[in-house]
Amino acid sequence: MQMLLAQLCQIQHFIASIGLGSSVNPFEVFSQYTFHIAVVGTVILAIGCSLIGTFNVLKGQALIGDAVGHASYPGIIIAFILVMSRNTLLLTVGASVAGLVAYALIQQIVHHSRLGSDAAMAIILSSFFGLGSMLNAYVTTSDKFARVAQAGLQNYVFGQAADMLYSDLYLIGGATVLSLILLFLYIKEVKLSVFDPTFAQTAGFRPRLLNTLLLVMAMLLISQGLKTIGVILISSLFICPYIAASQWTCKLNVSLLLSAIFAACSAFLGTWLSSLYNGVSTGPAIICILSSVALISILIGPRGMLATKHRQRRQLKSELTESRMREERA
Amino acid sequence: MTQIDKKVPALHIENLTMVYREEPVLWDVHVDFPQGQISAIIGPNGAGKSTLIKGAMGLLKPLSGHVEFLGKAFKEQYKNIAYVSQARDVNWDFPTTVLDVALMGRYSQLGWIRRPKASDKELAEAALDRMGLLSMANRQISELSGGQRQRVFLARALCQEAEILILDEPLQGVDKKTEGLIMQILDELGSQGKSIIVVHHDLNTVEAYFEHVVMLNRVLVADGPVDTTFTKGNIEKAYGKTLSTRKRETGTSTEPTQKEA
Repeated sequence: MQMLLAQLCQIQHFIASIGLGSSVNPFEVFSQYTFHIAVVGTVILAIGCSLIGTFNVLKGQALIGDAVGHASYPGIIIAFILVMSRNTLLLTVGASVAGLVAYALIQQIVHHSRLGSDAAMAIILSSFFGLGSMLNAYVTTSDKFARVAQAGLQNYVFGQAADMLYSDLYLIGGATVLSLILLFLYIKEVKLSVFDPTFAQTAGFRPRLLNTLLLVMAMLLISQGLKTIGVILISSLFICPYIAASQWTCKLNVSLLLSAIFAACSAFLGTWLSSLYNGVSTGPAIICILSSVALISILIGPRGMLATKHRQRRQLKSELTESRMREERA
Repeated sequence: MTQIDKKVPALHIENLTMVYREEPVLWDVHVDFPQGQISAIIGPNGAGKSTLIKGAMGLLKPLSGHVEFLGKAFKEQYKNIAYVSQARDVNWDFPTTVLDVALMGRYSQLGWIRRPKASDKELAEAALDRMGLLSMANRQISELSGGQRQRVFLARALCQEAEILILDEPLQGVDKKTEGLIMQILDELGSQGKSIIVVHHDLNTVEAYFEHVVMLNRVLVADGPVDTTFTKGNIEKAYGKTLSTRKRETGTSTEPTQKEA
């Protein structure tokens, strides 16, 4: 432990020497109240998102979170314009409504037009986010809102964990605990419905209901993550943990556990990093660490690229020797 | 389950009409599948073979129709019906093991929330053993070949211990050895009094594999025992002239485009 601390200090000195660093001790933030709230919030959120995200990825719905996340931005701004306050709960409701509208629009476009779901998601994602950016520009420049504190609105784009309030922890904790309970109770049904929905229905279960439940949980968690991770990167918190975990194991339970561990560690490190340096947003810091874990896993994991290539080469080699031996015998 | 009148059909379909995007796929089908026999549903591509069983089980919503399994509605009888979906319809990269997939056959008996017990695991292992897959029980499903996938699905149906088995193209894309094994197991189940309904595409094997046949082409063309129903005239009616002409010339015929290794 002491060695680790010494090494961390060295790293900090190195960073300081190249001019990036703050002059303070990196462990000083550990005693700060705002840091406690930010770390607890992001770690809990990351665990919830990684678990629900595992099933989103397995269902082939990885990108829907991206579309819904981006699309919730105008909801936040419109809610702010309507109530003239930065109350988290109200802005969250606005974000959720916009996210749901976007989701419904994507479904309608896919069902009633000749566009594929990728095109539908792309058009909704960009149009909603564009609208949000325009409204945000209006709010920040208009005299009407000059008296109301609106400076924090910009933080919803990339997230700022330092903005978190103690009351926000209740919402994040509630959403995560709810998804944990649901998964604990219905893991068997969810697994069956994601793997083989047709069979699930003939076995007396309701795969569509379970799928809706997964989506509702995902949207709930997205709306909670907007303030800390931001609308642009929130979907990565759903996608990356399972991608990383799936390179190490082929068991669902182990994947879920690994996803949660990867996500929680990245959230802790990312929040720490962003609280050390001014101007480093929490969302990008967490996602950089998390996606590095995923990329390294894809490269070196036992089910990753190198291992697969090695396995295939070995297999081909043994096939070659076998066929040579057969030829010799003949 | 033993007290069921043998005269009650395994599956009774009355007046079933299915539409897809406002186009009729099946039109006013009345048909019975007998108890304790192996029945085939045959017909050309797009004849509505899969749609018939999906409509009967409520997987797709019928425009009209009334369906009974052993004299009862599907909702009261689903625990007694084992469905084998098409292997190509599921994601085989899903992180789970062979034993896990077989265990899914026990889920309908377990219902919501309850977890499989040791006795369920034993049943699943016995089913895998019967399909020659016990040595692969702990393998990842992504490592299975086409034939092995189909065998896992049949093992899943076996450990459900159902009275009726409904299989959607179980011989699609499997090797000859697996085809033999699957048909042998279905034969055994048939002689135990189970009712088996198979969506089938290979006309060459209808006479060898099945006792009862239902011939479809959007409407019911013919149904009855294979000996009296699977005639050149009926095949012509279901598939059109060209195919049966070829049958006369070569002595064999297969449905075009669907033959796979």
